[in-house]
Amino acid sequence: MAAPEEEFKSDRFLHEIKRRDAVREVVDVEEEQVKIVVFTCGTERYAFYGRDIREILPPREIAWMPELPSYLPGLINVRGDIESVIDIRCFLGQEKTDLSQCLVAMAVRDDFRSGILVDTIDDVIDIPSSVVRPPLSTLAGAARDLVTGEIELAGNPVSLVGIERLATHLTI
Amino acid sequence: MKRTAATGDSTGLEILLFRVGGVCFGVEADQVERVDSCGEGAQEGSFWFHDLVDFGEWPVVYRAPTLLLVKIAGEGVGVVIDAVRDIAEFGLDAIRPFPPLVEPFVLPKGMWGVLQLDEEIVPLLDFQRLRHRIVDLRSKHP
Amino acid sequence: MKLTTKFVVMNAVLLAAAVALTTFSFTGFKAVVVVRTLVVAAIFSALSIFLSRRFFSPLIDSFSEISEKIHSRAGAISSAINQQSGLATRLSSSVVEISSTMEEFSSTASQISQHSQGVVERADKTLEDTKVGATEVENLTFKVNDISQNIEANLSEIVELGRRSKEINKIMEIINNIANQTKLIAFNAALEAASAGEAGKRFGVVAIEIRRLADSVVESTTEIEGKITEIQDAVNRLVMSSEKSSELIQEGQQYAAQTVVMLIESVDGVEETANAARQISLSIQQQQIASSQVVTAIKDIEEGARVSTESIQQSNGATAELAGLTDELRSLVNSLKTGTVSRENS
Repeated sequence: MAAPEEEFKSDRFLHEIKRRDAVREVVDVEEEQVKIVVFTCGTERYAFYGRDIREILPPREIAWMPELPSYLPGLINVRGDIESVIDIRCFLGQEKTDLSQCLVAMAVRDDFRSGILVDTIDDVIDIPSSVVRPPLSTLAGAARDLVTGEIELAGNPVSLVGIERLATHLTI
Repeated sequence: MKRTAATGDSTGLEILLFRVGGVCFGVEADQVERVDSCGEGAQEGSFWFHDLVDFGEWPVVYRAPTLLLVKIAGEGVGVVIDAVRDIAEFGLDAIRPFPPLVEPFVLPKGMWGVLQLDEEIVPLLDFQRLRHRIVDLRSKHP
Repeated sequence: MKLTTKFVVMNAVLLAAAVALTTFSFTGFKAVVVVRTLVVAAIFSALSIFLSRRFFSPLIDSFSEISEKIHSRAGAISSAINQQSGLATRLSSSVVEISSTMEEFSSTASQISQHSQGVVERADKTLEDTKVGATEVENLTFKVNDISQNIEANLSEIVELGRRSKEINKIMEIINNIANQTKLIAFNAALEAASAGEAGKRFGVVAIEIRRLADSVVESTTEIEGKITEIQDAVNRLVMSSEKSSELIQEGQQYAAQTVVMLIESVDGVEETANAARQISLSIQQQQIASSQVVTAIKDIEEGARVSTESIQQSNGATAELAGLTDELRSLVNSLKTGTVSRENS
């Protein structure tokens, strides 16, 4: 005859597993994750913060305008809206390329709004904030201003570009 | 040439479309007094378009130089462009302002907005805004 | 004249003797007969003396002349005969020389004939071989043409294959484009999900799945593109090697054609050689016949020379006899003359 409050061995296992799950959830929740958009510009990999990027657009013709600086190659048409595009190579020290083949990362941060031309979007992932390291001291020129941190993906370094930094850099 | 459909917006703009260096520009038709074909060089007192608006490294070739007699501050100024493309009416909803990053560069140079022409983005010029530049140029080359 | 004189004298002596005799010894009838006979004898001797003086001397003289002439003629004949003999001897030795030369000639001609016969045989053989060779080359040409056509057929199939694989490439491109666009959608979905809270999480998961799918599609297409490139490379190599083969075949055909031409030319040359050799053979045969005829003629001449030499010898003998006779005759004439003279003288 089974006792009414009998404890099964499997109950003990189940209990432990559930306990661990709960801890993990907490840990998961507590551990801050940040979404990043990893892209390639020239020979290097960089990443934007996901919160700064509204959407990613396929390549299209850029309408050239006169009187614009070299980092503003022209305007694009996005579902009826006219947007500017920034050639971020000019700031990251990479070689010029055929811009009509570049993807457009639509960056919006406070008052700053512009498309940013990138060669490829490699990934959109969540990473724990804790893995973000300070930027490398070997950065030069404008990159120094723009890069807010450094992470490692698949053994390779990825520089995090802050859109707010870019906005500041442009207004100067 | 796509004209804006009747959306109830009666405000329309007559715009003269012209080309320079392969790039299409627009100007309010009211600003243009006359259109003439002209010879080799600019006439006395006229300006090449690329002298008024800086093309930078973009190649500028005038295949069929055309003179626009533009009313600026009451006087007629000759502006040589490459070719007139069209004169048509467009609704205001076809016109958009320049994006905020771009406006500071183009507004002082006479470009105040863009006209959406199907897939084309056409900068709109207000020659009135260029009067200071014209004065500057005149003082340099009397 | 002395001869006659001698004769007359002798007769006179005889007569005198007779008269004396008769006078002294004989009488009567016998004496008459004897005297008659003596008288007749004396008459005859006087007659003979008279006749000999008249006719005999000239006869003797002319006899002497004739015998002298005969003697000299005999001498001339003898020397002529000697000359002829000498010539005949020389002729004989020349004939011998010519004969031996002809023999040499004949044997040399035989050798040439044999050699030219050998040439003819070899030429005929060469001709046969050449004809066989030409036929073989023609056969080869046919076979090569077959191969060439085969290769061309293969080549066009291969090119078609290459073309098809290019079409597959285009499809790959389309698939790739779709995959890339899908990835973009997935990225945007992920970005949206971030701002959509709890629902966004699940949306984010979906976005991740879409992303994974797009990645695997790109992987596959990359693999296929790789394979297509391999196929196209192989096709290119095949096309190039086929073209090379075609070139080589054309070259081979040209060589074959040239070879046939050369063979045909050499056939003509060989035929000419064979004909020439036959001609040589014929000529040599004719020459051999002619030379044997010459030899025969020469032998006849030799025979004739030998025969004439024999008759010459005989003539020489006869002439010697003749000379001897004339010597005798001369001495006889001399003695006759002397006799006449002695008779006259006595």
